[in-house]
Amino acid sequence: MARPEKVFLGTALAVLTVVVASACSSALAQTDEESAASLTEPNPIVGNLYLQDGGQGICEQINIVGNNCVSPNEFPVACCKYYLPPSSQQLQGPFCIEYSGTTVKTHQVGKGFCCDLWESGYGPTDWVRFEDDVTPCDFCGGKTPSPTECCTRSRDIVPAYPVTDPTVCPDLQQDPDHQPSITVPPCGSKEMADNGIHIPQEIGPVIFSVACGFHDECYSTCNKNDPAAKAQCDARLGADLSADCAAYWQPAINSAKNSDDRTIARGGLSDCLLAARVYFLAVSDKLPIIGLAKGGQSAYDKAQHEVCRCCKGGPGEEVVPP
Amino acid sequence: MRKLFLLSLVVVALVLFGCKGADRPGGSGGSTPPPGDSITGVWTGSEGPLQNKMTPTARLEITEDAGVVSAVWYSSKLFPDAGPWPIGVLYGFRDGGTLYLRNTAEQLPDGGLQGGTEFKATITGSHLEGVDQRTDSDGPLPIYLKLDRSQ
Repeated sequence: MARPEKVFLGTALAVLTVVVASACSSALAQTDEESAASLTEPNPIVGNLYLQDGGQGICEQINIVGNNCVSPNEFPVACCKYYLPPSSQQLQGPFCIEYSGTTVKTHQVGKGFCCDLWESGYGPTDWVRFEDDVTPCDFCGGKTPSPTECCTRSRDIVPAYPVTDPTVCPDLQQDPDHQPSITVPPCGSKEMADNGIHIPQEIGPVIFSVACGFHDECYSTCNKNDPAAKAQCDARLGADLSADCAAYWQPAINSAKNSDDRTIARGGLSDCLLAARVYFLAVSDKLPIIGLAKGGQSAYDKAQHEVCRCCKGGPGEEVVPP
Repeated sequence: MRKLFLLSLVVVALVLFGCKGADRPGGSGGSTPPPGDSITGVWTGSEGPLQNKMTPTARLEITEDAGVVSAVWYSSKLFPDAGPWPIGVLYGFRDGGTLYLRNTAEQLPDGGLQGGTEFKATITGSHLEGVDQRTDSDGPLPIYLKLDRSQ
């Protein structure tokens, strides 16, 4: 008797082969118009699956958007069930095929997962629980998140705020109670100041606090899981500080009365630019000396944790702040 | 990149080795710290782009560990009341009495360095003279340092 894991893997391979070779691919490649149309029509059966041990299942393409089971849109999932009661050799219970770019993954799902009825005539909102084919699914695999909760992509309910794992959030967004803000002082943080680390707010005659304020606002803007967001914030800080240096020193260089004054002004600009680079390297955690203003990533993570929420919250309704 | 940098430093070191005495800023034939003597400590003195108009505002905090040298460059010219925040972060190595460092280089994930300026200094006893080889739109802009060991 084959081990369940092998059966599962074999099933997954069979599923993959069938899906790729069947009409599933054309159904998955539907246009936005088709997706919109399917919201009001019964979901199409995208392929019959012949499992490794002869069992037969049916896939129906569904989708989980926010807290709702709806027709395919941007996160297609095929929900499969057996025609016949599965044997001990077969994959137990329903499983899902998740399409992500060019990869296809199968996931076995447990009780409470949202599947739709087979009979014709049911619309896309007629999702029922797998285990009895009767109990309505509501919004999150049989569970309904409250206005302060979100339904994750794996159909778990998690608090909308604070976010514990941003990667599972269906619609990571700015928490309305935590808008982008500027720390006091703008360059550095209150924690650093409390620890005796005083980051200069100006480099000689050049004010750096404005650029630092923009950087704070950038860090405290929910990035919606954009992996490049922090680097963009840091790059902008470097560019803004450098521009501030040039805005002050370049006129001094241009108006210098003699060669020495010009050289000294050039030195001022150069010092300012190097200091700006130290700020940039510090927030980027790229200074080669350990212990010197490390912590840009942790500051960013802390800010994101404070300002992001996992979804709008609740079954598609506005969250009313307490 | 790291290997290239180290290789270039070695090449520079070898080229300069034969004329170290003549090349040393203010080279007076004084004693250079032997490899076993650490240069770790605080060095203070003057800085500036004009050797005849340097300002007494520089402070270099050097840490040396097995020939690897790191240093933080503070300038009270820029931060009269700001406390310890650097305008330069230097990293490299010492060969006898000569320091080969890079200023504000970016540390790469593999530990190598990228960018920044070349900083070379010669230490004679408790005196350090160095040049940070910067450039701007006008061309080369060397910044001179003359420091004495204070701690």
